[in-house]
Amino acid sequence: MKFKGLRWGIIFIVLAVAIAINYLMPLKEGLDLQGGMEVVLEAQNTKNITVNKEVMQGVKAVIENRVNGLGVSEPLIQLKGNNSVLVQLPGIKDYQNALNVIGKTAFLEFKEPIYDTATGQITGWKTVLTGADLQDAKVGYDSNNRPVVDITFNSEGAKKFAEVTANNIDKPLAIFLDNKEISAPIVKEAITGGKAQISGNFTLQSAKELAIQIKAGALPVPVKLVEQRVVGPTIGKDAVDSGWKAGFIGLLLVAIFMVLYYRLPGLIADLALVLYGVIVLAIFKFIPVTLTLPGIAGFILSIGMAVDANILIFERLKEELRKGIPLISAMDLGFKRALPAIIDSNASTLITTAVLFTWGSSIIKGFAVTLAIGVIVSFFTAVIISRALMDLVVHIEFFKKLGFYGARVGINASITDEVPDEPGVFSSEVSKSKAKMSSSLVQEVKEDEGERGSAEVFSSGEKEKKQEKVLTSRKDRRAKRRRK
Amino acid sequence: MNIIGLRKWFYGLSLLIILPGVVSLILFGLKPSIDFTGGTMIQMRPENPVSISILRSVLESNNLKDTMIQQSGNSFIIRTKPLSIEEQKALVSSLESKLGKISFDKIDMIGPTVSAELVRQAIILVFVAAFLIIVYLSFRYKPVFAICGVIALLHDVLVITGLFSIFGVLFHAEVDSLFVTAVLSTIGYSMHDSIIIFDRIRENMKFIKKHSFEEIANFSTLQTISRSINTSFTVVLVLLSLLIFGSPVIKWFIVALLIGIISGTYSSIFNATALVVDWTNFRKKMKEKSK
Repeated sequence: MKFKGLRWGIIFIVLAVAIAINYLMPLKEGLDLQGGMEVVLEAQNTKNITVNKEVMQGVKAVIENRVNGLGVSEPLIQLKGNNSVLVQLPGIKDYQNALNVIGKTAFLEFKEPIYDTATGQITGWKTVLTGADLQDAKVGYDSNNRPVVDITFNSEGAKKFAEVTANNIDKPLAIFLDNKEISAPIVKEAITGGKAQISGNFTLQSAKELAIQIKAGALPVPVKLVEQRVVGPTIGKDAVDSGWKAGFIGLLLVAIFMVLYYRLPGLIADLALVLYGVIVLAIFKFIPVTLTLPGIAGFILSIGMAVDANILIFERLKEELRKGIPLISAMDLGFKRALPAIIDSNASTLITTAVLFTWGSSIIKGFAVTLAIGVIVSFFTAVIISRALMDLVVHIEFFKKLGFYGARVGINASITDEVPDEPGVFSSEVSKSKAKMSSSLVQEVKEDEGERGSAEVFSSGEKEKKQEKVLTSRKDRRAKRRRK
Repeated sequence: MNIIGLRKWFYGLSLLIILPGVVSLILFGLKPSIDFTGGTMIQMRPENPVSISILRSVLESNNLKDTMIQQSGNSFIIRTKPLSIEEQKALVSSLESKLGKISFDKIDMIGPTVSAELVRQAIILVFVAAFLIIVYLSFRYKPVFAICGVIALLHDVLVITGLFSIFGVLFHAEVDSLFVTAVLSTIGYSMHDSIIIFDRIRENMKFIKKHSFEEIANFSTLQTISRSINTSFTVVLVLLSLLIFGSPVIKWFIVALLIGIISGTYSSIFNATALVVDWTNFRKKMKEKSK
């Protein structure tokens, strides 16, 4: 009894926590569900720099800065392998712009002209300042109210800029972005305040982009887009809506099937299944698991397995009942005998999920995590919750009729652990005779039980002994019958 | 019912399903998606009606010649080589300028190195999973069970890949990383199913003095058959409703899972245990011969 109290205690605590988490925390939806963009950028070696961990930290920092400029909520930026960065931008709509901002090399340079000494023509450009000399960049407007980018140099840069402008009065000073000239204003006077304006043919949007890129600084090495997945917002929403609908219909069908086939235990399994859903959802929210389409598939597969544990137990229960074992003992036996199969089969699934999680790509990982959580929780719901509910129900006098358990004593009796002896064993006659025997046995045993009081009185050890007694006495009877 | 006694027929039925698939695999192979070949896939819905030929001409003006276009309703799927940021931008703006407003549902780009990595990964995953399951089963049961369980599992892998090879020819079904997920879940599920029967055989082995192993295998299968079928039935119910009411994006994934679950159940009931029986009989014969 003590153990039973503990069990209900655990169940109530788990459910309370699960419901609280479900109420308080949101479910994290993956890109394929809410729409958005995922890109993988690979850093390229240059003549001067070989990509290593430090360089990658630098690349990551710069990309983080740029992403912040995009104003996406909950972006994810992480290093992947030795030379790649993974960027996830959930819910982003203007992916073209985002792709531009993130993926651009954005190497900003100020260049002064080099003149041919003979002709006075401009023959080339010489870099005098780079993005590294900048402190800040913002969108502003020039006197004609056209968008420009206002930049502020750091102290070092301000000094250099003052010097360069002083040397180049009435000459152009060009601004290059990624080796493309974006504007080449003529210097009117030496600029000492450390502030300058980049004007070009900007729209408000392109000025914003440039400001973000400049502010974020230049990447230490160029990056290349190696993988990109964009999911439009409508298709994601579609997937979620239809996914929930389909999942609900599927579950309803399963619930109906369970009740039709397993009767009262089926109803209990359905209740356990609902609680299973509540607990799994809470774990998804708590970890948090980012739910993707394959993740939902993993969840659905785990529902199948959650029902499976119950089906295994109920099939066993039916078998024991058919053998004529009284209800309460049959339930005990059903759970006990189904347990090794449940453990072994779940272990094999967990092995598979572990493999998927260790070596799989991000899509496969999501699937593995949801399936693994499902398998573990289903073990809990089948072995603890279903068990507790069954314990509760079988002790209620009203529910003691075998009809509630879908077991007709004697049907299929040839396939029990009382294995027939002769090879021609699966004939209908044998099963009929056995059916008669078993059904009469049930009544006997029931009467027994009534006299001795309910099985609860016995400790579990005694209960088992009693169980064995019933079994051996049956074997004896069978043996006698055979001798005749 | 004597399932084990009829095992030759069930082997035959398995071969009947597997053989066309294997022939198709040899002749046509699988149709890999851009996940495994590298490339760009654009799924889009133009607001105005657009014909494939106009779309093709726009693509060709962007120097995209070897492009596959697939139309379903007013939705188009374009597959082409991996496009850089600039190339994508140019393509999208020229599509919009010539075809009017377009909503882009999906734009995926996989570079060649990434795709090569995915193929490697998929193969490793299948082998590692199979190997670990053999180790676990050998430890919990006997190596015979492990090996026969894994043969049944390879049966399921062959059924799925074979059928998908045929679907690829008939319906342009592509094999992507979701397909790999489906194959791997089938492996897990099929094993799950076989183990339950094996567990029953282990339990029933106490009757080995009275009965032959073949009989024990048969009634163990019969004892567990209603649970095997009921469990699979519930999973199939959910998958079918996903197929009918769910998102078309994962249609082929669900189909693969359905095939896997059904094949996994079949092979567990009709092949795995039967193979164990044949193996044991074979060993017995060899022993008798050597005597």
